[in-house]
Amino acid sequence: MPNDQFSDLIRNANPVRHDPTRSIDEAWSDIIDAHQNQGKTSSRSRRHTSVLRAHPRRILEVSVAVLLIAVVSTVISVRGPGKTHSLTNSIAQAFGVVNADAATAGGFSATPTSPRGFNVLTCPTSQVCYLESTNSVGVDGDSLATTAYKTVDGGTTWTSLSMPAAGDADTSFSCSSVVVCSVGVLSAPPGSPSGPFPQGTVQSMLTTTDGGATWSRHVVTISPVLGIDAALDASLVNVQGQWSQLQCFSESACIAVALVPSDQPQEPIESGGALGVQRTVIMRTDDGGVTWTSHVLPWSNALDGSPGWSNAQVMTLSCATPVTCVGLSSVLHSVVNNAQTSNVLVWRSSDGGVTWQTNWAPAPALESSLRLTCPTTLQCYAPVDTGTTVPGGTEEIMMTQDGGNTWTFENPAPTAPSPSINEYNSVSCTSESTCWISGEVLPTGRLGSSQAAMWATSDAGQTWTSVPLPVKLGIIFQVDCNAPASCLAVAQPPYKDGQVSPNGPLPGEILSNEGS
Amino acid sequence: MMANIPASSDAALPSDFEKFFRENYSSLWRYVARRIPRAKTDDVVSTTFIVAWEKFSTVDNPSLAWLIRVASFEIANARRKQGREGRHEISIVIDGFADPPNNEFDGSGVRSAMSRLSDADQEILRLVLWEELSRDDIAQILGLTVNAVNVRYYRALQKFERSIVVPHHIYSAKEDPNAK
Repeated sequence: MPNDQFSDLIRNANPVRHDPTRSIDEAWSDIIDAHQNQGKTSSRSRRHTSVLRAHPRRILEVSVAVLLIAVVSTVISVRGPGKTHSLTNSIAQAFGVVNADAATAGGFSATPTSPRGFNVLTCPTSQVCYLESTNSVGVDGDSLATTAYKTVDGGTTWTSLSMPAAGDADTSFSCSSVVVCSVGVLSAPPGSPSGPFPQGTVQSMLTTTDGGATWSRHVVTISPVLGIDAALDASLVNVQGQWSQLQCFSESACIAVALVPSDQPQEPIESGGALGVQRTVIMRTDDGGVTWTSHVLPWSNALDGSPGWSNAQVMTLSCATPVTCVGLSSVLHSVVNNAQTSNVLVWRSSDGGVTWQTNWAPAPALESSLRLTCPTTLQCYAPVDTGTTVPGGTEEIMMTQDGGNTWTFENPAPTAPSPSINEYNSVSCTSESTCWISGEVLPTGRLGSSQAAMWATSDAGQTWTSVPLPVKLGIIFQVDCNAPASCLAVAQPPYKDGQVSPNGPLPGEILSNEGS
Repeated sequence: MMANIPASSDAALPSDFEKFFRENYSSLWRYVARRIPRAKTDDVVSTTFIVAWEKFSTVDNPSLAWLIRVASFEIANARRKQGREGRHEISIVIDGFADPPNNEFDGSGVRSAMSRLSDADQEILRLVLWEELSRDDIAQILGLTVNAVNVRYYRALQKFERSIVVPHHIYSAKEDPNAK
């Protein structure tokens, strides 16, 4: 749903709204002079000219930059070298699926997929996957609507599922078997106000026990944390929190992470206006979503300079069993004049989220992502921002082998020799030591030239191997793998030269060279 | 009014390039000034127009979006140069543009929260909300479909929401006239 208030916050924080400091005539004169000087100076002296000139590669980049992408749907099978086990990967996006098998070298195939949009996958088996396809709708595309699809043939064909609640899926599907799945959906009545916790929105859990043919719906009440500031409480009438994550262990037992508004005042980072803290709540159900128990995670004011944490950042949670869970959240600290830095806080529970132990993740972890995977009670893998290249930039994979007590770091996509920003979009493991990571590599500072990549490890993250992709892709949003080594992933094709942008993805083509 | 400046002796100057320059100079200057320190802004803007000049005749429809795309490479070059000089790169210009001190909202907290997002998320928010470009233009700049731009923008806005302490008035359905 649109969020006009936050849009306005950013819009009003625009640091440059005034005219250039130099007159336009002066600037034009400089350009004329610089251009003339280019023709008169030697190549050596050009290197010392303040106005740099273009080189051929840059001209090529610029020339392709004016052309728009056409999105192509593909299903691609890959057979590549190097692994002792069979690796069957699929990369599907809105627009395409790639199947990869690393047992043999070389072959690729591709077939189109029907779902188009920002897709998230959940694959209970190598052949059966559920897909949430979110597309922009409404005026200027600021609203989102999710449609669910299912494949039973490894991503070759997709069938839309009829869901009993319309809206934006705020969690991924969580499937405890091939036919039992649940998903959180956030819906709002027409005319609902915007904002993170607008009045009138409804959080539902939808569950199917027959593979998506029929669904049950339970409306979930996610209460704000109240009782501290009466004045703020008055503004939280008919306001609820919403889920960020849902994990189900059976058709009856699920755990969810919710972000809720609270009336806990917090030191403002903006002057003026009453402020409240968002709190994280762990919710559990053992009756299929009919009733829920909630545990509000502790909070302390980290903005006074003392160690502590606020739960303004969403926790990412992974439960290897119904009772053993590890979570990560980013913690804001104040330093000077309300400037902030962050660290990653590790949460561990052995009673299903009722009580928690916490410890700090070591450097260089600065900020957690929303992607944590714990294939066992001891092993966990998570991309974290280390900020080593640029603020908010390069991520590394943070790993534990002892249930979250200690952590190590690896960077499957090193930045040398070419500086780049690495963002790992998902991690999926089929055993304690075999995992895949999808992500994108973006040359530092450049726009629109990211390239998707995938890496795999079979030694618990000590070494990562680049997984060859059959086609060049811009982004891989998510990879989901099943034992022994079958994966499906959602991806977006890259910018392509010479194609005209449609207002949405185009039908795809079929590529196939499997077995070659 | 065009400047009373002699045309370049270089015959390669396209006839309508000066018009293109004058129509887009201020917008491009602000785009660059939002991304690199002010001391380097004029240099990067000039460099961008030099590159644009050289390519102007080969592009079907030169536009601000195309110009911004050119500038993005120049900004990247400037940042890399800055990095080689031993300084941290910056994704967002935070200092040097503060509003008057009596303004209750100086935007610093918002920009600080934005700086915590990934470069890609920051950029989509800046292009939509600061540059106020159309989604078609942004799609051209980023090499994405319009749909992908919309989805990325929405996701980036969600991440921003979660990275900033919430002004409490936004919980309320009633519009607060002092809120903006």
